[in-house]
Formats: sequence, C-alpha cells, structure tokens
Amino acid sequence: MAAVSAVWSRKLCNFGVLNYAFITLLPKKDDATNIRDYRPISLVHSFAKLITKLLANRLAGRLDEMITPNQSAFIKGRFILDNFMLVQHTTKFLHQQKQPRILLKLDITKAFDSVSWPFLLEVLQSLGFGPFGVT
Amino acid sequence: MISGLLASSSTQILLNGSPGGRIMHRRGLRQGDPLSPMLFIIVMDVLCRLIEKASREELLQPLAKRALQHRISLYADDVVIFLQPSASDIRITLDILDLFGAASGLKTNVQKSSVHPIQCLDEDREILLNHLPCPISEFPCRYLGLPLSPHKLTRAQVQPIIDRIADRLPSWKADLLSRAGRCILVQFVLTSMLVYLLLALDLPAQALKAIDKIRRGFLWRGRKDVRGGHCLIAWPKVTRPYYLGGLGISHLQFLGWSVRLRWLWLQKTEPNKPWSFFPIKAPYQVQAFFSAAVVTVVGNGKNSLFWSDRWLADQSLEQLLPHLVRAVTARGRKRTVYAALENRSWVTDIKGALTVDVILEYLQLWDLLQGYIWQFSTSGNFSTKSAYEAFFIGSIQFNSWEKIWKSWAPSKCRFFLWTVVHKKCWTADRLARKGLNHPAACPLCDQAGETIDHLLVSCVFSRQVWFTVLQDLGLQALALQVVDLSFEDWWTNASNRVTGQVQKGLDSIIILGAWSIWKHRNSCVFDGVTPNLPSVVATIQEEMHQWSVAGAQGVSHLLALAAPAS
Repeated sequence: MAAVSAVWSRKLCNFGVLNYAFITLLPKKDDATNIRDYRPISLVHSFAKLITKLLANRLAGRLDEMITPNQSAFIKGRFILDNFMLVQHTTKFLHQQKQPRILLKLDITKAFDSVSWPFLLEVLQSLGFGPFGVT
Repeated sequence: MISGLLASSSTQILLNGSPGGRIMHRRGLRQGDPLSPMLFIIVMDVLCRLIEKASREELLQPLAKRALQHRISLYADDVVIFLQPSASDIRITLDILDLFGAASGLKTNVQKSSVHPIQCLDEDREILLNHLPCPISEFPCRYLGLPLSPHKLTRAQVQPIIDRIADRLPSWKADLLSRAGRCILVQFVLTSMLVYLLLALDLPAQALKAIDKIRRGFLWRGRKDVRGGHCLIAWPKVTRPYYLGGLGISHLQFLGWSVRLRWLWLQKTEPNKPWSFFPIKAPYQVQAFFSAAVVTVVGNGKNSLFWSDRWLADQSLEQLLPHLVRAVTARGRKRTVYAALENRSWVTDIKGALTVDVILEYLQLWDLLQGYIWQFSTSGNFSTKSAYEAFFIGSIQFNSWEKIWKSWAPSKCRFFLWTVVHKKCWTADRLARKGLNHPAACPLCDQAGETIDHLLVSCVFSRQVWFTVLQDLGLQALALQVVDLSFEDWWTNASNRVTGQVQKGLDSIIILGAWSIWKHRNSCVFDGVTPNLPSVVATIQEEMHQWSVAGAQGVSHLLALAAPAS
C-alpha cells in the first residue's frame, strides 16, 4: 500500500528499478530467421504491472466517452464486429449509390512499438489529464 | 504519472532464457502492459478526428448525398477509409497520414496498404494508379478476419471457410474417441469456430450444408465424408437441444439467425453504434420473429409489478430510482407493468413531495421507458441463447432427456442410451429391414426376435440381470414386471417411484445395466461368446463400485444403503 501511494505522490525516483521488463520473442512463423518474424512480448515486473493495471482500470471507464464511436478495440461495451458492420454496410451502401468510390485499407508499420511519447502526452493533456512533467 | 511509467521503463531481451543488457525506452508502448492498448487507441483517435475534421470542412468530398456519419473505421491498427477517387482527395488523405505519422510516430506503410475500388470506371482506376502508390485489389478483401464484399459471397469465396473447418479434423485422433467425445468436439470446437463468422455474415445455405456434412461425418465416423448408414439418427434430430431429443449440437441456420438478431436488438437499444445509420437487413423469418419477440413490449407485464419487480433491465425501479419510488402511493405500488404502461398511468402514482432527487429520477424513468423488452428471457434483455431456444418453440419435448443427460454416467454410456431411447441401435429387427446380415433370434435368450426393447426389457436373460442387480441393492420392487414391454416406459415408472439420491443412483444404474447388456450382446454376436449371466452381473457390480469411486454420488448412496443388509 505504502508503495502504491508513493507512486501516487510521484516519488518516482527509483521506480525504474521495478519498471523493467523482459522481452521474449515469440516466432510468428514456423521457420523464423529474421527478427521481423518474431513478435516481442514483454514480461513486466509484477509491481509495475499492478500500478499500470490500477491506471488502466481507471481509464477503462472513461474511454467510452473519449473515443469516437467508430473505434471499437479495447473499449468495454464495444465489439469488434461493430467495425465490421460499419465497413460492410458502408461498402454496400456506396455500391448501391452507383458512384465511384474507393476503400483504402491502411497498414501501419510496427504500430505498437513506434508511438511517440511527447505526442501521446500532448494528446492526453488536451483530453484533460493533469499536467505531465516530461522527464 | 504516465510519463513516469513510460520514462522509467526498461527492457531486457530474454534470449534462450538468459536476459541481455538493459535497454532504456525512448518511444513505443510495451506489449503485455495493461495500459498500453488504451494509450494506443487514444493516439489512434487523433487520426480519426483529423479525417473527420477534413471531411467536415469539405477538404474531402462527401461520400453520398445523405452525409454518412463515418468515413473511417479503426480497430486498433486496422484502418479503413472511404474516399472519392479524385486526385485532390487522395492527396489530402495521404498528407493527413504523413502529418499524423510525423507527429505520432505511427507511419503508414502505403506499399503494404491496399485500395479497393467500388463502382469505379476505367478513368477512376487511372487516377488511382497515378496517385496512390499502393496496389489496387478487388473484393472480397479480408477485414478483421472476415471476407468483405459489396456482393453476396459466392461459393468459391466461402470455400476457404469450409476448408478451415475441415482442416481441423485430421489432427484429432478421431478413432480413439468415442462418439460422445466427438460430439463435444463438434459442438465446442467446430461450431464455436463459426460463431464469429455467423455473427457477421449470412452464409449461403449451400455453405451451411457443406459444414453440416463435415460435422455429421466427424460425429458419426470421425472423418469428413460419411454415408447414411453410419449415422444412427437423422441430422435434424441431432441438432436439437437436449431437451428436445437432440445432442445439443447447434443448428447452424438457427444459430446464425439468433446471433444476428443481436444487431436488430442493438439497433433499437443502442442507437449510437457506428453502424446504426444503416438499415439492417434480415431474412423475413428473422424479421417476423424479431417483431414477435420485441414489439409486444411487455409480453408478460400482467404478472409483474411496475414499481417493485425486476422487469426493466436487471434491477427493479425500487433499486434504480429509490427517491422516486418513495413518492409513489401505496395503491400505485400494486400496479402491474401492463396497467402502468397503458396510457402512461404510472405518472399518476407519484404523489409524494417533489424534491429535486425525485424530479431527476422522474426524468430518468422517462428515458428508461423508451427501452424495449425481449420476451424470451426473464431479464428482458436480449440473449442469443433465449433467441436460439425460441426457434424451437412448438417442438415436441423429449421426456427422457433429464434422465439421460443429467444422470451421472460416462458420456459414452449416455450417448448409447440416447440412441436406445430413439430406438436406433442396430438390433436384428432394424438390420433385417435393411436386408443386412442379422442374428435370427435374440442372442441372449434365443427365444424371440431381437428388438431393442426385447433385448433390454422382455428378454428372459435381461430380466434376470436386472432382478439380480436391483435385488442386491434392495430395490427388487422396481425390477421388471411381465407387463413391462418398453424400456423407456419402465425406466420412467421405476425412476418416478423413488426420489432424491436413490433416484439419481437408480438412473445411473439403469444406464449402466443397459450399457452392460448391450456390450454382452455384442460380444455374443461378434465374438461368439455364450451368454453368461453371472459374468454380466459381476461386470455391472464391479463397474458400479468404480462409478461410485469416480464420483457418482447416487450410486454411492445406494451401495451404502445396501451394505448393512448384505
């Protein structure tokens, strides 16, 4: 408990000691030779995981209000097929309109690993999360 | 807080079990951290808003005369954008993506993206070729693991789905599994694989038929293809719930309808879903079923009390709106849901002091009452299970289902009893009807022709077995009488004459007895064994002890009762 409240009051001086993770590489295919054929999974320290889980639980309740309805991943009460229904019905609808339209399917490279922190913090701040001292 | 977490994170790469050097993070989110996905979608939301802003300010031309609410759909990193095939629109979209990529670090890999033209002419394709560096591909494309197309899926397009199911079979050692075991695999693996698919797509009847063929073949023979003779019981009967005489394997058409009914339900109850703008098409049977289930808003409202019963959502109004309910008169509290909703007479029940809380809750209730009620479930909320079962309303109940499927017995024995009660075992009478080789008379008594009821009930040999077994347990009163001719009737009568643990034990023992007699009959027919009464009884008694050790409480109870007597 004391440890949790210390984190809360931002005494993060030595948090780095606990907040480390091991990465194991899970092969994506049978004969994985290139580093791209592996999916990295972090094994996070249990205390750091506790803290992030605490934050995640707090965030989960508010996500529904913050995120536009056409994004349904990781939000309670939304469902993957909501997206599929949206795309499928839009496609059918546009097809019936008999006007030329295109569907552009994007591929984002290494999505998870390349989020820029300053950008994330700025977005969070504009969403009304308290000020962050960027360390 | 979050920045602290991010900045202090470090990683060691675990290679072949030993950690490497520590790497401090400068960017990226960690896989396996509960917070990461949420931060990620918050970042992705920016892209969504950029595109929508561009669309609102008419930088991107509208998609249709009726403004569509959403032109972009995101599921984590799966992004789909709809555009007009004009040079400027494509330019702007690519610029937005570049801008977003530069700011957030999430670069779009345009080469790996794909574009799918809808109703495009040759000159439109020309524009695409010149302005978009990504390949043009045709429908159907895969989105979120499902085939996506503006047209009905053709047979060839569905084939991969069927193949994927068929591919599962060879890895299962089907020959080593009993039919009961395969039944579980069919229901919980083969059928479950389809649920996601059925939710989104209305598969053509042909495809369902092909899948049924695989399921049927695997259940009865353990392989993909099977001839009619291997299937003891007709497939339509197998795909019924237990209580209607089936094996509880889902009926694909009904399953598909009932899971897709959810869309109709959500469209009414949650109007802010992203797709709710579009009319949901459903086959007319489903549409009719849905209106029957929902429009009669309070189907059983005459039996429940408006203020105190849980008829709305899963809470009573008393729990939901305590202040308001306190302001309701004593007479008003007796109002049924039906009466209260008629002419909104519930409004007149509120007589107490109108505090702010009361008024707030009053307004809340108005909102709540716009809800819909699903007739077939007790909570009034839609559930697929209740919808699925409702498709079978009007079917004939199968009387013995509880005795077979709720009794303690190994599932292979229960499966056998299920075929017995449907009278579909390969006894001499049925073999003769098909013109197959068959024993001339009952192999156990050699006195009468063999039918399943004769074998288990009226055969002298079996009577002796039942009597000895039941006598040992002090239940000889329940043993077969001369008048008993049908196995199912005898079982029902005997079972109804006792209660509680004794009944449970008796049901298990009757299953065991029938199974053992059948085994003995088979070894007589196929291995040339001569019928031997003591050996059958001994097998039954030994099995009985083993069942009781394995957890058959009813059997243990009977054995304990019988022990002091013997």
